[in-house]
Amino acid sequence: MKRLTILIFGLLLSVSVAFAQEIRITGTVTSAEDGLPLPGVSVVQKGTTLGTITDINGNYSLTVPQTARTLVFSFVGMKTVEVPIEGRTTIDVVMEQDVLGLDEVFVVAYGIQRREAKTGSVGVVGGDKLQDVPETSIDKMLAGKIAGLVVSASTGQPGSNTQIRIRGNSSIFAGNDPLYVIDGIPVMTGDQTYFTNTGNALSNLNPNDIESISVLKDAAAASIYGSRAANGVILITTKSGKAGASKTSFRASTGFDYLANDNGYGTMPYDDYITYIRDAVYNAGLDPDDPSNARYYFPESLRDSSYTDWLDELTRTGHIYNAELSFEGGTDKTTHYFSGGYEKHEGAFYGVDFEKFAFRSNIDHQLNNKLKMGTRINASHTYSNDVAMQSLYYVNPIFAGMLLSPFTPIYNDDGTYNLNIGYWANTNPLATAEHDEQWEKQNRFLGNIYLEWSILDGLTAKTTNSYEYTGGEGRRYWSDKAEYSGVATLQVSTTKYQLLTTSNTLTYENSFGAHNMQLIGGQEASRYFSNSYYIYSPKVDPNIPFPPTASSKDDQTDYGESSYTLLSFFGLAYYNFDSKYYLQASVRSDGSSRFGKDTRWGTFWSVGASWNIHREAFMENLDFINQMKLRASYGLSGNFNIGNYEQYGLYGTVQYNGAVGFAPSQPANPDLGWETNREYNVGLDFAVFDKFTGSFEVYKRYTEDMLLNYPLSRTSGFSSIRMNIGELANTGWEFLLNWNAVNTRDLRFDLGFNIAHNSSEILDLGKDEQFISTSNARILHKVGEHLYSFYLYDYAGVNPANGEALWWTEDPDTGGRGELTNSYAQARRFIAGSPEPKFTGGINPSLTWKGIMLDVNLEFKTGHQVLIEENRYLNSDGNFWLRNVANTALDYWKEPGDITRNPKPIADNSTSSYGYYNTRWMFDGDYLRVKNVTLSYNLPKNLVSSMKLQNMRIYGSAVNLYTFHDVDYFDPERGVDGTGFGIYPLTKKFMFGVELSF
Amino acid sequence: MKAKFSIKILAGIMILGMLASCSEDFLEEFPRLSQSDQLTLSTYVGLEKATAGAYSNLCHTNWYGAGLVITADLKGGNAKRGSVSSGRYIPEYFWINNPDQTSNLWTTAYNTIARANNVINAIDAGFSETGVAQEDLNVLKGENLFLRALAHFDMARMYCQPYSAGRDNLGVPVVLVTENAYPERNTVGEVYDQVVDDLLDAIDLLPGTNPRGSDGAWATSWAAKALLAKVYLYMENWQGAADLADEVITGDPFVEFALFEEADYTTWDNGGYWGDDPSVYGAGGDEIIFQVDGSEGNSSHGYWLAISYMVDPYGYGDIATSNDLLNLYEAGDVRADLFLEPPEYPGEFWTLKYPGRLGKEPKREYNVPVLRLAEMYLIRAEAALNGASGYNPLDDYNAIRTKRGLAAAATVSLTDIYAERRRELCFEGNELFDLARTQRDLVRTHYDGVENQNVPFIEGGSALDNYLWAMPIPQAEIDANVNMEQNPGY
Repeated sequence: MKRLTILIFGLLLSVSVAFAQEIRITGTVTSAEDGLPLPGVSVVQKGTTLGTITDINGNYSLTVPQTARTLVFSFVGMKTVEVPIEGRTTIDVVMEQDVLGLDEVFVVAYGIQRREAKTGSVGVVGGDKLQDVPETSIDKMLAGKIAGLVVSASTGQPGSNTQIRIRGNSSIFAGNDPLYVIDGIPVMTGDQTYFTNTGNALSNLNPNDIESISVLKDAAAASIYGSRAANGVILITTKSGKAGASKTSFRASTGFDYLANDNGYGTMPYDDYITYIRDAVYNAGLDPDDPSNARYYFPESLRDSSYTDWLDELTRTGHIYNAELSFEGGTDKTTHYFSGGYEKHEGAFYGVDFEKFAFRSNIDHQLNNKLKMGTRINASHTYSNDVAMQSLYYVNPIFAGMLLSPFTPIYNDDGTYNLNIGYWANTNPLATAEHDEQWEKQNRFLGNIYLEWSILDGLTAKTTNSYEYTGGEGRRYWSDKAEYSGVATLQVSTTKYQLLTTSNTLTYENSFGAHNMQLIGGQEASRYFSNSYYIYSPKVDPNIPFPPTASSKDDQTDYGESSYTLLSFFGLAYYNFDSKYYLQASVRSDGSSRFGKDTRWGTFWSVGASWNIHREAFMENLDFINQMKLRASYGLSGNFNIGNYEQYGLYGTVQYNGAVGFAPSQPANPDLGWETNREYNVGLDFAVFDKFTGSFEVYKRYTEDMLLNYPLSRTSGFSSIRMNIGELANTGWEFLLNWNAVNTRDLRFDLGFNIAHNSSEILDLGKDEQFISTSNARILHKVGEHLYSFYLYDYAGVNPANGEALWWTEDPDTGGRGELTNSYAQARRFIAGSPEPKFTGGINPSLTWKGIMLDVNLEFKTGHQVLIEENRYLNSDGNFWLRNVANTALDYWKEPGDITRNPKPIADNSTSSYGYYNTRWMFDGDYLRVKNVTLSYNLPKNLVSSMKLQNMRIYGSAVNLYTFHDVDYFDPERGVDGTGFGIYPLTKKFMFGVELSF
Repeated sequence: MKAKFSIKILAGIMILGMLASCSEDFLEEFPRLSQSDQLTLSTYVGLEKATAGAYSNLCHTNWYGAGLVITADLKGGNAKRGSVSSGRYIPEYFWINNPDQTSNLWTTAYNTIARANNVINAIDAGFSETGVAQEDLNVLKGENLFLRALAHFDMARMYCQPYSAGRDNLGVPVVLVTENAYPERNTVGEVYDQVVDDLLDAIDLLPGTNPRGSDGAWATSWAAKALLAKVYLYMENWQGAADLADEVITGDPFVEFALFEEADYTTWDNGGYWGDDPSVYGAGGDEIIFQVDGSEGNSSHGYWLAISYMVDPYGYGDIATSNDLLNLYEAGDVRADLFLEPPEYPGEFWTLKYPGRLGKEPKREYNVPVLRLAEMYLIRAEAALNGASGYNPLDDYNAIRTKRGLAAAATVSLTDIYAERRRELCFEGNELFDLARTQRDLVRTHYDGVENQNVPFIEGGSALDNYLWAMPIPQAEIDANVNMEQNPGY
């Protein structure tokens, strides 16, 4: 490693600075369509950052060294033009519209690339496709937009995290989240809160500040990010200013959100509930009209009494507000983009809201014709309030709302909250939502400064140094007013996360005749540190609910911290011959503090090639083919997304009876090393008939030396150890088609469609054939099966003769279904399904007519199952007695011969009809979601000009407008593992907004 | 010149960036809040703290912090499902445990054994440190032997057929060196033999009072003797049990344990401490020989799952009291006052043995007596009735009765002792195991389930005949250990 460092170091020092003579080139750029001048066109000396922008009249003036050979003219939506200088000082250019986007450039690892030049698999989303979607972070907006990128919602809470998977799950225990790189710097992701579920590190980023998102999917595109590339890489580029007149934009929008429920799921209608519980009492051999037994006394007269609809009382229509201001502009020396925004998002449940202030300052400055520097700075403050959800808490409104009895009043006669709810741990979720506090305030900063030095023609050095920080303050307060015991309890936290990164590259680009090449060498280092302080103060004074009012003998405190470092050296080479044949190779060596001394360095590499068939002479007569490109790649990448320090055998601190002791906290594994991904990718890109563009690709990726949490015999004192064991394969294909159906002056219609198939298979698990997930007992990992398999007891429905639940036993000979039994204990447990969708994708039509634009985004997943195990409480056939039941329990057995879904209810049911882990709670998870519809109108130019504005736009947008599905729950999504309990379902949102620029 | 100046700055920044990060030291990150196992086990301070750490599992919800105690009393018929319920412990109440829903004492006990073994083996490997006396090391070793014995014994009670049903039934693996291995199950006889060996060594090594503190929560030679008396009782070594119980009762010459007074029974629910003055060990008026501390600050504390919250009708309240137990108390018995009948739930009773220690609300602090003097009297009496010589069982029986507000009895039988154990030791984790070791049937008249109201223990039956009396080994162990054999019947 040191040798490579010295090499780069030496290169830097050996470069002497030569000042060449310069020439000044001027000219005008016009549009081929109407002959009018084009302002804002980028004019750059090829292979350098030296450039300028055309003014309002399409004129430019650029001073370049005499050695400069080519100028590159580019503009969004136009075909890029390269013009040889050939000694001229005046160069005028006519640019043509690029309907198919073949000249589109996009951000790739450590640079940008034209669509035509790519060898790896990259998906791109423009910032304009994200700006109107009212979500709190951009990860939520990617659903259905990129083939092979699957967004799994495990919660609909504003500010919460999202699970994104690119080409399936590559790992059982190491993280499966992609690497996020913002403006060239890998950033922290994940939940960083102490008490709430709202710590999504990406919510720092204002979606309107995003210029583009590139998703690097295969090894050729991603493996240059080495250790962290196994799950793909998402590159986010924020907006930078453009030289020319300053532009100020103001956007404001407002809207509302409420619980999505397109399947009519909910509690049982009150009258049906009375019948149901009376039947359950009869079925238990008791009399519901016998007042002497209060637990089972449910007379007919209850039908006429008033009751409480808890779910209705706990949900609301939340309001959303957004306002932001941005300024962009600049001179040919300095450009800027500033923005500030405010957002407030009330949740669909009482007690849930999210508030954010975010600021951005992006500045680029050309120091002289050799040096350019700039900053990308993002600061934000978020304040999120929530109630305990994502598990079956008594205060969880989605769980409590379904189970609290309609006979239980919310308020006492004197108007105070009813806190005497014996069957519900005396918890009134409306009281807790009002009086309890659970919030997190976070201050975030992500800033980098870069310096770029054009050392020689084609040779550029760049250093980017960033600091990322999250500081959080959390509070959880159980108010005396919502506690049956009348005791107030406080917990508070302070957290800090920081990541320092330096990224340094040296790029050399040159052409020799038809040979074009680019070489990049680089080095990166990161240091991460986080810590947290926590105070638990029981019995605080409700009038001064802060730690000092709790007795010091009751106070408890805690402290935690964690750190890691990462050091990398890498090289990247691109070569093409005549824009026909492309070759690409990369290598990266990463050292991580998370692994053993002898195993901490991993080397990852990739090779890729592509062939622009349409540029061959033999294709010249096939006019209908605009582009035809064949790509292939192979490479290795790594995964180090495990906890810190796992290689060490450790004793941690424990407390007992006032003494501080040590206890083993983890077993040593000094050989712990990288999990490796090996991926093959073959793709075909095409553009035909001037109307269709698309691509098809197939891939296979193997995960080797998986970082498994390998179960141990408990006699070892531990339940598992982290080891490199086993192998997994993901195989799939992706198809993408965009159809520019109509393209006239006034009307344009585009239809985008993408679909992806991914199938995982476990190939090896060490000495075992299978094991049950150590984190989720419903999930089995078995060789020859999908990565995630639902391992469930086989529910066989209801015995029509007596209304009992029936189960299938295992046939001892075949291992398949044996006989029917009414004993849950005898039921066979088998692989009943998988939460991994077979097909995922999106359909994205877009219509523009004059100033009106309609964008629709449909998203689908199919071929998988979800497990709604909380229905065992809501369809417990009488076990969770005194609580409410779901309307799906209505179809229950009443008399011999009935064919029903649910067994007969029995008051205080002591059978196992509602058992854990069984197929009664499993559903096909297929869905088609109208994810987003946006209708916008750009007011006519003359009208806008009369108002002294550049542009004015009004729009309306809907999120999760409708979902077609067949799951017994509010929403069919359950996260990657298809389970999850008490989740905050996705909500519907409607927004109306206006955007002005002047 | 300006350009050159900038270039120098640029080169400087780049070089600094690289120099700062290119050494191998940069990749050495060690957790500052933990320490390596080698370091811990190579200093006296480390061994001393590792020993303190070995105790901390005792209050885990799988063990004395809830699970073991509740399981023994629910399955034994002392407790029943409350009308206040969070839905926990239903399989225990209905005797329908299976390998997926069984006691996880297994994990906690082996974790404790690992903690103990590491210290015992480090000392046995010849550990020495300047300024550390052999006596200090003996104490540490004795404490760990005591904990290892208790862990093995409690697992044998939970997962195995009783010793009285035969030494050759499946025991649990006896683990004396903790390593990443796949041991088979030893026999019940081998497990008990090891427990006896460890306790005999612990009695020799441990002092009469533990230097860590005198609240009974740290092991002493008295605790080891009392535990061995109980183990001998389970092994039907009547003379051994009686002799050791006698040693503890006599307490000569170092300690003087004494039975609770009647007055104690009215102060526990106020004073909030089950037992008496926790600061003085065995110095008159103290009945506790060994107890488990349930302070909320303990690392293994179960919070809402702690026993004191589970038996609190204003907490989770799942564990109420069976009328079968309540009906055993005669008029005047002060122990009958240790049950709460909340006005909200007339006719239903919850034990007050875990009243929320030191008055803390919610009631999540507790202390669980593991060994106390009353049980020593009951052991000596039962052993004498079974033929141990030198002791008068009626005296022991009456010693308890007269301290509990009752008149002395004229006769005593084994049936009386069994009933007295229930009255005295209910909700302390004994009844199920007492039924099993004496091979009596479970008979419940106050039960709201359908099946398993009464569960016979077939005397002389096979492990399969009586399979319900041994909890299944957790499935996770079966899955992880190829050599692990499940109990018959599951």
